[in-house]
Amino acid sequence: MTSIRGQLQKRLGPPIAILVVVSVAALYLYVRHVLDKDFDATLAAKARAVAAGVRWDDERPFELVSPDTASEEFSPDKHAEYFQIRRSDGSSALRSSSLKSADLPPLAAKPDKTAFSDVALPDGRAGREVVIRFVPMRDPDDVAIPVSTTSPDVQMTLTVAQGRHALDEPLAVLLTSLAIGSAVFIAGALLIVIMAVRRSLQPLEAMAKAAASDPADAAGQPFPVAGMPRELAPICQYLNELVGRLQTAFQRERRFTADVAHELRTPIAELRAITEVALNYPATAAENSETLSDALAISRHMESVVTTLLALARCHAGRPSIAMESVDLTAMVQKFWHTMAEQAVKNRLTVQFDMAQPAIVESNPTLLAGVVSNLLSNAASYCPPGGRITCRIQQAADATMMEVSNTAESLTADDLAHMFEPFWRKDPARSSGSQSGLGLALAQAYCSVLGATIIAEMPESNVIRMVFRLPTGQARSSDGGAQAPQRA
Amino acid sequence: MRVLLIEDSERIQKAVARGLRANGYAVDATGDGSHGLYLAQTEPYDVIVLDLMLPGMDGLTFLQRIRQQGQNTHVIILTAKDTVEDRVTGLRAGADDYLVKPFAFEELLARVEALIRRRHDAKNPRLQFGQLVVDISAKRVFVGGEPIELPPREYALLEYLILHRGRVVGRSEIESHIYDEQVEPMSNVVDAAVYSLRKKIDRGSGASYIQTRRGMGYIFDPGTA
Repeated sequence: MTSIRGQLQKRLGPPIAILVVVSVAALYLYVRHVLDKDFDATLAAKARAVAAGVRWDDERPFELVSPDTASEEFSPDKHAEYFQIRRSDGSSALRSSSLKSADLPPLAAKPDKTAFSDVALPDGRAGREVVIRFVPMRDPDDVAIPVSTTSPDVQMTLTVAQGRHALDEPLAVLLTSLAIGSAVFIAGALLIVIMAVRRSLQPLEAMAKAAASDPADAAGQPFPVAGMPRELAPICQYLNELVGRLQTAFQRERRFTADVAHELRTPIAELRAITEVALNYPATAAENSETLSDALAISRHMESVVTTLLALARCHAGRPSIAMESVDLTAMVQKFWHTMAEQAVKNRLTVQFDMAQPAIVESNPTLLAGVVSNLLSNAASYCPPGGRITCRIQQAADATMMEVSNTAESLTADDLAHMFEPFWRKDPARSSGSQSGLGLALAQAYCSVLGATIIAEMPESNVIRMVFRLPTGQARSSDGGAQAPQRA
Repeated sequence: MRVLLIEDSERIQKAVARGLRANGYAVDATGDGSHGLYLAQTEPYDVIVLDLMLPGMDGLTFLQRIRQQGQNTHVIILTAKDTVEDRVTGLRAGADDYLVKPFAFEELLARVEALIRRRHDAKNPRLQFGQLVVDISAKRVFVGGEPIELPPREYALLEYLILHRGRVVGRSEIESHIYDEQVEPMSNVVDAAVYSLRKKIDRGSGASYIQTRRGMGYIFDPGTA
């Protein structure tokens, strides 16, 4: 697995080293070129000085006389320099005393051109020679010499050679210095790169440590924002927000799981208790019949809880594909209320309907029925005896609204935030066996699938109102209408 | 023995009460914490079986109230709350035992019996007095090695007198511990039960295990049989 640190070090280290080596090499070559040029210029000047001093011998025509300056520089010693003059046919016309009988390596030189070459000197040292062509000067007074200055016969080739140590030694020192300096520089640069990369990646290590912690652990913000680089600070902030949402979801999930366990544990305990006692202790036929009725009721309740939980899970898993059709919301309310009317009468409830006739909406009838039945069932179950229930349906250009209100003596405004939580009930004892506490959660899940909304509000201190809003596009226009209050 | 059952699940309440009555206990049952507190303050109970999440008054508050009032009745909590914190909280609030739902009725029964034995400092469930042997765990009675069958209330009467042996127990005390709210005991019901019990356990010996203290009540005296 590659690491950012490794990648950065790999991508920064070698290029820096190559850059340093290339730069130092270029510097060395440039200095060497300058010194070579300077050395060659000195050598050429020396050759020209020698050529300027060569004369025809007054006594012996066609013999050359060494220049006066040649006596010291070209004498044989430890650092001897050499020159040799050759005729056009290559024969040696004159050579320095340092050469003795040896020859300098011949080098072709074009007229008016100066040629340079590295050579091995006769004494074995590495040297450099220069070759120029020239015509020896003659005495202007010596007219007896029958020679033309333009004649090729009198054109001579002068080769001057000297040791390279004066050039090579400084170059060697320079090269050594540059090599050592480069190595030190490269090592230092690599060290700086490693430290800089490590330091720059420390925030990422802090983030990695934070990310390794359990997001379900609600012990504060895991990703440090303070001290983070500008590029990472917003990421940490977003991650903290994400972790916060995850923790909330985990807590909700844990609470939900605990609630499910509790909701199922109670009927299981009931079932076990009644069946164990019925099996172990003699009972009358009536008692046995009651036990069987209780067992059936318990199994139905558990089936209802499980079915509702599955419906909730399906809604939360994603928006299912649903068929939409025209539904009369008012007729649906009347149909469901018909099944609850008896209970309302028994509890002496005052029920008032104020509904559009009809209220046609484009919706899925199954899911819409789930919402409507839960709202009405909730109102009928939790409205205290002698209380009041109001159901109102209104249609506007942009939406159809259904409001179900009921008397709620024990509810407070703080309870509104929990109304749609699964298994939430005001009574912690949850002694109402007919209600699972899932109705409003399921209604809200259905609303999200239908594209509708549902909210709980308390218009008065002892009244709870559920407002179901189905946006138009899913609602059709209809005639308005209202029903007079009626006593159930 | 008289048990107060405070349980808001009507089905569990009925089943447990029925099972306890079948084992000779007098049982008063309620689903409301406040009513349970009223009963606990007005009637003498040997054991209270208490749910925690109750309408009216939650179980922990009930427990704190009766302990503050100085009641030492043994309490067993019967609840769906199963975490260690819940158990610790319940026991520290004054409960003597803790049983999590769902539960086996036989286990609840055994725990109730254990609490009653603890109340009367009777660690051995098999009590022997001469020819008479009473196994308060198995609810069995033997005379001369032979088992005898006793109706639940007669057994409860015998067990109560044995657990309070050496002390005169008044008729009203017997009524309040042997009969629950569902029974309207007639004035001579205790005398009739004692008479029936004597016939079964004395087997014609000269003296009876159960002696009458005129104007006061009865006393179980193993030395007289």
